[in-house]
Amino acid sequence: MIDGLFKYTFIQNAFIASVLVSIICGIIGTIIVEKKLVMMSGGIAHTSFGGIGLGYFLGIEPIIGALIFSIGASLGIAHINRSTKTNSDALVGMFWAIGMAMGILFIGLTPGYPPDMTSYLFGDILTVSKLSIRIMILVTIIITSVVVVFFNYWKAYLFDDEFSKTLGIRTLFLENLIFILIALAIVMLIKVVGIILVIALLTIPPAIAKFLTYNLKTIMIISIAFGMLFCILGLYVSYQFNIPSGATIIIIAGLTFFLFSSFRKL
Amino acid sequence: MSLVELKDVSVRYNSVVALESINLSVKENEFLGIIGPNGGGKTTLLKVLLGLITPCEGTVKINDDITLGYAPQFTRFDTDFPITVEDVILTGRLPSKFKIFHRYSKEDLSLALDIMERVDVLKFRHRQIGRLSGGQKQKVLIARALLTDPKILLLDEPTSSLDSSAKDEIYNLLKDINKNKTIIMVSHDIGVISSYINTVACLNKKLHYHGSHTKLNKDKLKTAYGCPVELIVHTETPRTFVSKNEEE
Ligand SMILES: Nc1ncnc2c1ncn2[C@@H]1O[C@H](COP(=O)(O)OP(=O)(O)OP(=O)(O)O)[C@@H](O)[C@H]1O
Ligand SMILES: [Mg+2]
Repeated sequence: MIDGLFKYTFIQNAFIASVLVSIICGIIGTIIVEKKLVMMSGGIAHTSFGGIGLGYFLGIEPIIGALIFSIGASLGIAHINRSTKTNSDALVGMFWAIGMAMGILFIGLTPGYPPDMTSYLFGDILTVSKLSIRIMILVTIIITSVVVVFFNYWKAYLFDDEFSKTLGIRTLFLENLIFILIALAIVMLIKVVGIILVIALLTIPPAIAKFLTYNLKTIMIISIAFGMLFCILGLYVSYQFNIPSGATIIIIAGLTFFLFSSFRKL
Repeated sequence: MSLVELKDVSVRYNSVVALESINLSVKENEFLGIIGPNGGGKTTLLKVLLGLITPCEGTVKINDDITLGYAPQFTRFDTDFPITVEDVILTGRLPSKFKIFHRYSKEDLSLALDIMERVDVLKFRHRQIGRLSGGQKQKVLIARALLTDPKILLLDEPTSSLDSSAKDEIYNLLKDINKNKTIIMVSHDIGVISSYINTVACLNKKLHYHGSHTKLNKDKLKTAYGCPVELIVHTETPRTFVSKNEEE
């Protein structure tokens, strides 16, 4: 039956997208969980909605708009945080809501029929195009190599950025780099699970992996494996029962997490 | 020859004044103990020296070739992070210039093992950092700072949760290290450290005293602690003040 499914190109694409997204999620998800950037990542995802709206309004590819907005938001939040030392939660909340508001405004201003936004909000892995796959491959390679090549630096920076700075390591560079990677990752994930569900796919696999190990590298690898399991299983289930893929993936991930956490308590 | 020179350094956090016109110079091979009440600006002063905080006024002079090793105050420590004791300590050997595919060398590891042995955390080397007791974690931070093999070692209350025998061990180790390194240490253990340090600084927003601690007997150190400056200024041994640190 699965063989039969693979005849369809869109299933193939969805499968490849699942694998790529899992790699991105496993690596970036672990970083945002360990660096306590979960709220910030949620904020970036929602801010990118403004970019999607702008894309429709200007008639350019909405994902390009999302990319600009999410990179802008992540560097913006990081910069304002550094310079004013304000409460970053409140700041993230502001970006979050203003981004969404701008998206709705731009779409309202776009002439003609309002476009269907559900695939951006909730994702649709079955509609991932060949071009999207190519871009995803590129982003996956960038994220993986940046993290692998400087792994010891990331480990030191994530654990204790102040100490790394006293060693003379350029932590500002690392910080900006990681925020750009987070923004890239989030935009890639929007296609698959959507703005609203992104945060779950980033955080659930590392949360489960942390039950099993306390080695940073192993957490990333286990997270990737769980991500693949959730995405591929979710894809299959959603196709079989004709239900939304993004939501299915997240529900499966969530159930697995609760299974693990209750086993852990026993 | 002074290694470090602070001139009229002031630091404010928004409206809170943490340091006010600090003038301080630290000489080569000095073992400086910084004392002062909570919120007196001790941590802030170390961070200024480390370049983690840029003062809003004044200048900090430290030569580029002087390396600094830092053991942070342990309260601000995230210990949930997935990293082992050994990996924490090894970061002390991380080169400051980015090296691709960096791996710690055999030498790095053997130096780390040696230091772990000396501060007595060797048996925990593969444990996650959060699964240590407070005192053990502090020893790890000290070990990491030592492994950087710096010219100046800056320690922020390094022994606050150590038992007295561990304290003695650490201080003896520091005294040994002090033979060829400068050490700046924040501490509340005035009584204990006075037999190891050679100068003391009393900090409470302003630098109230910096000079030889032997000229300042234990009782006076105790009064000096959390002190308004007058208490020290009116001692019988005003000669001991480093003139440029005098307030009036
Ligand atoms: N990040 C910050 N934001 C705002 N105020 C701060 C910050 N860090 C320190 N302060 C304030 O600056 C002053 C000096 O703080 P600092 O941490 O240097 O004191 P300390 O002497 O190290 O105290 P302790 O003995 O408790 O460690 C305090 O009044 C503190 O409230
Ligand atoms: Mg302090």
